[in-house]
Amino acid sequence: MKFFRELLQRWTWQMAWRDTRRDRKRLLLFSLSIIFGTAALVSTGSLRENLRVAIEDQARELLGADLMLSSRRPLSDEALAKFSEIAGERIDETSFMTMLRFVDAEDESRLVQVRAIGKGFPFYGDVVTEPAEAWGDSVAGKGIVLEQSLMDQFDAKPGDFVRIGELNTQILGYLVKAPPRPSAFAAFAPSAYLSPTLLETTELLGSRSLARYRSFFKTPREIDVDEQILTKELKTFLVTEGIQHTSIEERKKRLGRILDNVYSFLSLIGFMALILGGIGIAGAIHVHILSRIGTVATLRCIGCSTNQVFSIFLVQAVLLGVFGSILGTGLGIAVQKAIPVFLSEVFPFEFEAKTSWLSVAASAGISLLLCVSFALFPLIRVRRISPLEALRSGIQPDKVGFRDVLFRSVVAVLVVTLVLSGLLLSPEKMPWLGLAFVGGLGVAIGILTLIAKGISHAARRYRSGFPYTIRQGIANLHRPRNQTLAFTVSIGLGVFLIVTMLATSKMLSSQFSPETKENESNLFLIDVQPDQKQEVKGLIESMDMKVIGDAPMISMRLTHIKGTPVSEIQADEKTRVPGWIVRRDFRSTYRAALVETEELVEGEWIPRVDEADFEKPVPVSIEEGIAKDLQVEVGDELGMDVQGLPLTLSITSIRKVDWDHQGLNFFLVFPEGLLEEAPGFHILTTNAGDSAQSGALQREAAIQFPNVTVFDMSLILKTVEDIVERAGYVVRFMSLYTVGAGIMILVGTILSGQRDRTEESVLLRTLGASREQIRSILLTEYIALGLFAAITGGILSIAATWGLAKFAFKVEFFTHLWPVAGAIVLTSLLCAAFGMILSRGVANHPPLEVLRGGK
Amino acid sequence: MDSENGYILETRNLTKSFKTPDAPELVVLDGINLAVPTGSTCSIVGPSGSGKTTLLGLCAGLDQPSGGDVFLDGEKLSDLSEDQRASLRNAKVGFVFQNFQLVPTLTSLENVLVPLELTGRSDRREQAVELLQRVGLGDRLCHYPVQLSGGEQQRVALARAFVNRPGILFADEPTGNLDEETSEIIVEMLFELNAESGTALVIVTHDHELANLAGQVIRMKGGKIAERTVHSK
Ligand SMILES: Nc1ncnc2c1ncn2[C@@H]1O[C@H](COP(=O)(O)OP(=O)(O)O)[C@@H](O)[C@H]1O
Ligand SMILES: [Mg+2]
Repeated sequence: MKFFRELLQRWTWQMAWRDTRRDRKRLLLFSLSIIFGTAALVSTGSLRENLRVAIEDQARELLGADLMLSSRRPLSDEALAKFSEIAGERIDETSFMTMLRFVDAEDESRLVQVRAIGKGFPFYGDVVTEPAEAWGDSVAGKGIVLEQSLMDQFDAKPGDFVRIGELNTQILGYLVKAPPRPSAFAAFAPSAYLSPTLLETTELLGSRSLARYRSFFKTPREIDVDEQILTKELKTFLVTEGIQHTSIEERKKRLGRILDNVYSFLSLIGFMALILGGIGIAGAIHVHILSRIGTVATLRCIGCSTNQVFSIFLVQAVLLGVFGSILGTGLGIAVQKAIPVFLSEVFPFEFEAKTSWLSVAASAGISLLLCVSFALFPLIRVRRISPLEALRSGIQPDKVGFRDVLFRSVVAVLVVTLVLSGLLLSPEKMPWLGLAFVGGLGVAIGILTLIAKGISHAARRYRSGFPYTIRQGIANLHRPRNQTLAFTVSIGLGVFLIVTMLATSKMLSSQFSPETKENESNLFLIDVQPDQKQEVKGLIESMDMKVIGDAPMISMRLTHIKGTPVSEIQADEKTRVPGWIVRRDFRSTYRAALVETEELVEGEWIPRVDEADFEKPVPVSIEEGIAKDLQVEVGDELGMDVQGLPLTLSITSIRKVDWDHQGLNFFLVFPEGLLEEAPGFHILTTNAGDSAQSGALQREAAIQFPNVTVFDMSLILKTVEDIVERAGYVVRFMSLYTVGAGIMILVGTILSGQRDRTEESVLLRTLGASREQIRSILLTEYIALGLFAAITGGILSIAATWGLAKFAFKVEFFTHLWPVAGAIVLTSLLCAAFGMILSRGVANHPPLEVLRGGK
Repeated sequence: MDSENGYILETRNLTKSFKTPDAPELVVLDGINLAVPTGSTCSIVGPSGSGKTTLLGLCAGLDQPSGGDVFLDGEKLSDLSEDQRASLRNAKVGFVFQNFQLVPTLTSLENVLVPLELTGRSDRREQAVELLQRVGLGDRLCHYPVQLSGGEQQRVALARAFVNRPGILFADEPTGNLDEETSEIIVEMLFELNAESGTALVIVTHDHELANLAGQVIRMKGGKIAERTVHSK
């Protein structure tokens, strides 16, 4: 505790400040690494926050509201009152399926989903029609708005008349950008939009038991719908009322794991940049301490206690950290503010540049803490400087090793701060990521240390016929005061972190790139009768598109889980089975083999059954996530109502499905030989390059196969792609910080050896070495050090990228040899270049200076 | 107590040896018995490598002996912790080094003030100024070591060594880095300050003239005291 008393002494602070006199500029330069680290953390924190808001906005646009309630019956006054009170503005919708007759096309008719929505919908996003005023007119009750494909099919034009029940009205126009659909797959029929008053006129409502009643709510921004509105109590109430609810949380899931990854990655970059900053600062303090050995020894002779000298330099480290984190925070905020101004083209999403002060303060705090923890390492040495050094210069401070109590406590402090900040900075969904990263870092440091020892050892053994300068350069790798360990560990770690980050960002970007989208379905052809299948396929191919997916589809409803009727499960408050699963239509398929996007994780895959016996449980394969939600395992039984036929399913296997790829994925897959006779249809999917191609297919299909519905998913997919692409920019932009911090590490490491190198070079020069020779000695040493450090770091980064790909981001791993090779070459060149620039003085110094003591 | 015996420094059977990885133990000091009376002067001479610096370091408590004891102003150094020894040094010991060892980031005055500040006696600024004037640097108070010549630096070091009125001052070849003329000035000052403040001097030197000025001359050879001459006053 003496130490803390010293820390508070005025004299300690005075000495700390005076001691910086000659080196303030250099110390400022050193603080750059922590400035970069903090700036990265601050701006990634804010970017992350902005991205989250942007995603939320997109999710709101996908729903058009913050919350949607939906029921088969008109929502009760009680329910509406309850929700209007807490959930804010409300718009109601009534929709049902009915026949739409085209009066001008000889009364031909088509099944449509009629949607009557009140004025003001959607709350988020907009609706575009052709002509533009059509939407407003339809809301005002002047007519009906249809989908373009439906109009094309019947060759209808705005102004034509259509009939729905008793209503006779005119077509106002068609949709260019449709309002959000409550459920993408709920109705495989084109939509028709009209006003609630016109809906009354159809006189179909009373007799229609199939109508759906929905209410959309817009809640104030600060309210978290899932946390604050959808309480357990209200959810129970909704269940008893038979009302389903959808919040944007569920819509967000559509944006997929890609964005989760970007989000996690941003967290990781901030953390990495900060660690790089910490390494930089440790190097900087190390250099500083080396230049103070004489001072420390003298002070100790005069009677300064170890605690006093330690406090002086600790104060300096803290000041440096405070300075660095304040400037870094400023830079981070500035970058964040500047992005929307200068890079609005690059970041086309609405960037509010909101500064979250809490996250800024947290970032600054974490960075200060990490900075000081890292600085403690070189500071230990201060306590080990012997006063004897003043009598006999050249004494090396005792080697600080793991046997030393102080060293162990500093390691413990660092590990604790790293683990804490790792936990704090981990993305919500992967709280372990930060920890795993710290663990990986530890392993990397261990390996780098071993490699460094190996290099020193090899250099000692090395004999060759190379010229003197090269032998001398290599000998520098093992002689006393060599930099091999410091260099290998710090540069190796730098290369390791930067290459890992670049490779990971590349890997993630490949997820965003359009090439991989080519084989993803964006057009779904529904309702294809089994006997039409070949012809429809022919049509698709005749239009230069590929048939991507082809599957039979039978819809069914869940009746029992493990023998318990779902009605009981829904009534049970304690159940953790989500309501939407119980209520949903399970669109299932049958096939003999697994498809590309799925993988068997448990149980046995049954390709087909020879004899269909519906008295006994039939085998089925279930998707991993939904099995978890239903709390069922292999061997459990589910009850299903397959279009009136009650069936018992026995779960024989569990599949993992890659939902990132828009394709024909199913929760339940049956073996062949069971459901072939069940009433069902086929679903085909393809990819349309643009809307023209999509429109053409929709028109042709409508003419040739009127019962087939073409469903264009590209709009939703496009929204997702947009966001993902922007996120990619953010990722690449943030990577720059780490490179900045990395360069500072390099500079610091080279400077830390500069004093010894200068002394040696001057001596060699007095002995008659030419500048050329001195340069080539230094060059050999720096290139060798850079090369070994970079190779080790590069190889480690391949391992880390693989780990991140497999466990954190769940993307396909591919080795990026280019970044690794590039990093190795570049690092060696940079080492050589910086080494030469920074020791430029060495070759030019008049030898006299060093002989005078160099003070 | 020894200080009551009149000795500011006493060593008993002091030995120091270094372990070397392959060779046998290297004995650098072998059974040194030394006694320096309070306020007296003592010089240590001997060939390079005979253990003079090592002995000085041990006497000042900068290093731990392998055997034997050092008593500084009556305190047995081996009984003290490192920090206690530091504060003893601050109170009782002054240092002058061959290569001056001024703190390069401090001005002359600040360098002299450090020992006072360490004990919180920064009020005694005048004393530091006065001492600097005594060594002839009254007009160089705010200069940094790089702005001073070797002799001037050593004079600052002298002022720093005396500012705390130490009981004993250790000097390891204080004139080794200086020319003859400057050396003389430094030596003169050393003895003047000794006479004035009663600070005992222990000086390692190669300069025979300087050595013979001391009341006691110790000649070292191979880690042992080869000869001890006491000049009667
Ligand atoms: N740390 C050490 N390790 C090994 N030997 C040492 C160490 N310090 C000093 N020596 C040896 O001790 C002997 C005495 O050194 P020193 O006291 O410096 O002599 P002097 O000052 O008389 O020239 C020398 O031979 C030197 O090599
Ligand atoms: Mg010596």
